[in-house]
Amino acid sequence: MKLEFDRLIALLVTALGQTLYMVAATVVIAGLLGLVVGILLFTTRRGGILHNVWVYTVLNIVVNIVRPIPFIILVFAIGPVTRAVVGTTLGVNAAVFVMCVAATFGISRIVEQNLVATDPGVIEAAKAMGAGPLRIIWSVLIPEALGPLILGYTFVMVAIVDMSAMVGAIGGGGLGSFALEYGYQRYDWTVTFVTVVVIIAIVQLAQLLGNALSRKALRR
Amino acid sequence: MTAVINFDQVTKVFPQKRGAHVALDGVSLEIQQGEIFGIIGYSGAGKSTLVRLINRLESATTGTVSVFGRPVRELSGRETRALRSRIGMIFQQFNLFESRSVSSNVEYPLILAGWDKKRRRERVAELLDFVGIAEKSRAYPSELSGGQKQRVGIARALATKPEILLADEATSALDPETTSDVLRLLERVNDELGVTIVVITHEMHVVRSIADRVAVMDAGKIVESGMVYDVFSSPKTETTRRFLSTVLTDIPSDDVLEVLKTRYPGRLFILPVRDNGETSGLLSAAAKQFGVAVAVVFGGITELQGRPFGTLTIEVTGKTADVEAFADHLNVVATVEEVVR
Repeated sequence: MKLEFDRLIALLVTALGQTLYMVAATVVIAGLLGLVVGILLFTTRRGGILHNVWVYTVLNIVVNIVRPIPFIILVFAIGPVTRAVVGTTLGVNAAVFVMCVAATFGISRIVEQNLVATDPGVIEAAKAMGAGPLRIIWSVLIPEALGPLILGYTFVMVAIVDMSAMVGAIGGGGLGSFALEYGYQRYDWTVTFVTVVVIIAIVQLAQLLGNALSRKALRR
Repeated sequence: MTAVINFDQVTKVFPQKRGAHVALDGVSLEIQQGEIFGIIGYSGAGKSTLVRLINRLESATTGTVSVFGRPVRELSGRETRALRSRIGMIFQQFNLFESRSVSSNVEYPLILAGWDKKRRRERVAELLDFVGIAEKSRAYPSELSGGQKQRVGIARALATKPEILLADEATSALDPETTSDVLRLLERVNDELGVTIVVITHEMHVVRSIADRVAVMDAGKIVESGMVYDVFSSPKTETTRRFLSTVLTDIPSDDVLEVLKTRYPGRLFILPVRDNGETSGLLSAAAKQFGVAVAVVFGGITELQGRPFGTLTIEVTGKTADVEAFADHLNVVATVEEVVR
């Protein structure tokens, strides 16, 4: 029994490491891609600083197509693409790829929404001073929206933890697989329960960190 | 005097879902170097659009806007940005960067203009000193009052030593006392730095306190323009008269007239007071020449651009024939309105 317990702890730690890796990789990659897409959605819309009807329309349609697909279905639906890019549809890296696809489009809307909420007067002021569009994006738009953006990213991070557990169901590894294999399938409620506690702890930590950072950015 | 800004038959049309909104309708005007030019109008009159054509935040639909002698339409993207660094702009809502400190806000246009760090720091200190807010340099905009925010806005707008300052309702969000502080500051900007200022406002007292010349706008057109004293002293349109009534309380309203009529049985006249001495001449002649008694029953005389300005309502009493003769004399020498009973 003692041996079994030690083995489970070792497996839990490995699974935790995989989950953290998947979440971190997705937050970084999808975070950057989503930021770019979100900024494009905001700046290319009518009256935006990079106003471009075509770019906006295409991006908007793509985002609207991908985003409503339930994650678990998206995982299977883009299987061939995943295999082409990662070489396999199993394992942690395949999971990261699928999560990045889903998260990029989710993040892009969150970024867009937060940018829409920034004061257009501030953008006008920067324009009036002679700032070009790219300069306005990185030196005005992002800093001005930073507080809400951090909160938005925190929100997404929780969704990504959720996704990482779900990919466990299809052999993605991480805490999701662990809970399924050693908890659910072996009727071991303790294992399931402990896994849930660990996931809650991750989410809580992420939320605390996000709140603290956004408060700092907002200076309140 | 040279014109730094020139509008020639400028029209601006905003396409809308149904039809189009004509914001500016054939506007022509010239703004001279070193003057404070007021543009007054109600909201929707087109004045904000007009001022945005100067630094090309908007483009004219037809007609030509020239700044520093060049039509802005001909400028490339780079040239437009260069033009903007020669034109400062301040706003009703201040539009400060909330994520930057006071000094960082003022420094921003200097970074755009490529100044090195040492010169930027010196210039920021100099500007904050000029607008009287040096002690707040490390504060963030959310910690400042409205008046302080506008001072930062002015410092930021002046950072790159522009020749023109555009003030878009710059005092409309401020209380009266802060408004006059900010107006004094704008006067100093004009006096000490020689910056041409274009003041957009819906408040007549702003025009009255600082503008040299004024254009009155209504429905996209300039309905009247000229020296402030001239436009104030002989308004030609109803719009101008309505604006004047907001600052000049020396003309009796209909209610006041009713009170005056019941209280004073003699004939009542309303006389303008200008700096030509006409009115005082009339009053002193009244008794001497016509033997009538004159009592001032309402009105006031104030100062406008350093010249006396106002309106008096007088009651004239005496023998009917004498009063009649005086009334005839009044009508010949001055623009006088008799109160109809």
